[in-house]
Amino acid sequence: MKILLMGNPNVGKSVLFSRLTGVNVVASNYPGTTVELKRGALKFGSLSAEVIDVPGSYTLDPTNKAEEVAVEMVKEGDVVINVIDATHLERNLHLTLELLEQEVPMVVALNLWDEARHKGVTIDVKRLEELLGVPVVPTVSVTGEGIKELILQIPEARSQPHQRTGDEKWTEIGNIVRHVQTLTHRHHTFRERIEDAAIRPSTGIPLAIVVALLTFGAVVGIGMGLRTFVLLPFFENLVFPPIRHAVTAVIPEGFIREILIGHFGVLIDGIGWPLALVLPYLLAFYLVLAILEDSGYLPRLACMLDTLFHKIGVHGGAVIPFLLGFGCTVSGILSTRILDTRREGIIVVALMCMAIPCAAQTGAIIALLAEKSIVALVFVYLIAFLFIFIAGMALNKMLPGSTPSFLMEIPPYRLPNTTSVAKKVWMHIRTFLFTAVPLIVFGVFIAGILYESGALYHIGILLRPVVVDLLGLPAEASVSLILGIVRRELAITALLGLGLTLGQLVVGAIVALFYIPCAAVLPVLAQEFGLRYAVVIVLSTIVIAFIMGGMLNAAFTVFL
Amino acid sequence: MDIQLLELGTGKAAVIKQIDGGYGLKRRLTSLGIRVGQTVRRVGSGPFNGPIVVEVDRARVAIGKGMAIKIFVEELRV
Repeated sequence: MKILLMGNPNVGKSVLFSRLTGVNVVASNYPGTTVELKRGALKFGSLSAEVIDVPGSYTLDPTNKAEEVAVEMVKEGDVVINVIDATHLERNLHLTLELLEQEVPMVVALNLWDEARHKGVTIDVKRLEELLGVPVVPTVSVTGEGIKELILQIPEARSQPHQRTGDEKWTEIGNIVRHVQTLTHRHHTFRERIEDAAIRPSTGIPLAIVVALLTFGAVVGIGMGLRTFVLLPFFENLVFPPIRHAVTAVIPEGFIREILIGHFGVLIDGIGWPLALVLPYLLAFYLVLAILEDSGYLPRLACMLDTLFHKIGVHGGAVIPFLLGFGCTVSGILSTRILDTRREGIIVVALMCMAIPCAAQTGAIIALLAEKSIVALVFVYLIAFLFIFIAGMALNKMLPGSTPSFLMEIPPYRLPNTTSVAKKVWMHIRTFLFTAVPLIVFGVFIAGILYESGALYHIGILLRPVVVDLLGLPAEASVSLILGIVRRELAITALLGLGLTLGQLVVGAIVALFYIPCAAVLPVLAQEFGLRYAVVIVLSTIVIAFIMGGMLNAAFTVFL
Repeated sequence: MDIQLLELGTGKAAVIKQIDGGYGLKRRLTSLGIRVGQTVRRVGSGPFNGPIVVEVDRARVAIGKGMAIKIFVEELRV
């Protein structure tokens, strides 16, 4: 049996999905967190079913890619659990009536029941059940309240075919709401006035700047702190010495020993880079991101940035894919599905692949630069942002079409829940450990072989015109361009320990940033935008990386 | 007299009288509860002609300027 979880965006489907299946999926407090189908198994007594978390949709008449996914699924389900935000019954019931027309057996989960109670919204569940003709269960997915009752109602799912025109639906919804909902009228509270500070220009702009600075400061601070005071001492003192000792004792001097513990040693850099260098920043970034996501601030930030973003051809909602791109380019690309047009997606993805470092690369950039000069670090980020703005404006002029208007629901603020934040951070860390770390180890291994076999020397000669003449880097830096194909941060870490000058470090960081994102990005780009576009993007990243690096190098040679 | 939603002052409430747009626009607005006859209250906006944020059915919705000029409302006097 297939059970579909369907409903408007940001009503808590993903949390409910985790409750039903025990499978953790990312849930956040903004519309459009889930952009692809997530599947899990539900077993309860004699009931055994596949549960599918469907991206949120306001209607069955899709307006973006994420919603298209939702609509295509309806026919496949045996039962639909329509998740409704009890605090906004009227608007949510529109999709409910549309779903009823599909004649799929349905149960309604009246979610956010606690929030509704808190906001003075009372709903007569029995009456709503009668009027809709399907079972209705109040739930609070975050705490698990009502989940068992919901599962018990699944076998009772019924279809209740209606056919109505759009206007008839609203009339019907009006009738239903009048019969089942009572509102305790309240005056606007002080808290609400504070809440709206983020969506007024006079207070919203300073607040956005403060949040941006706090975010940057927290990521750098927590990351650096963890690395310098916890992870680095741990690995340098407790892990690496016994490894070096054991390898030296067992393996004779030569090629194999060098591969294991030499320059680009698999057992040293292969462990140290991912775990002591990248991990702390990844942890810091996803912690801050989880808090931002769950707070409900991001849609407000989108609102503040909308006019600025229109200059680069996207609306404010693009702040979400951009921000996710600072975590991982792949999730950033996937989340462009919440944008309205392919044109916006192309602009965001092109800029992201070039100038937005993922969390792993941020860690590497900080390790490379901040320990030498914090100014250099800020300089690299300024160049990246300047590029995004200029290139974005150029793309906006070049690409045919226009920028759609911003239209987004602004969710209420919610206090981020410690458990859910911890769960989310852990999910990202787990993905990193199981999918990225093996790739990093593999990259280090390849680098070690190239280095020890002398192949790197020949590659260095081959790439000399670019690496040495154009970019002003030592020939060994060419390894960065090879490793950079595998992972974004490897292009940076490969530059560690080469004894570069500050100017060279900045050039190297810029080239590595703009260069090919990573091997995992290519298939996702091709899947989302087509192979041709994926190839164009990748080739442009290489060309632009060299142009940017060459210009910087020329400028440094003249001015420094 | 009907005014554009864009012109509604912050904190002021109004009833939506007319939406000047095609099927697509109306449908998108409707799905967020913005439709003729609804009462909205402007609670904020983005800077430099940014989106207008209104409260409707106790939810907040940000509406870009391009859409906000197509929504005509009648201000409610308290």
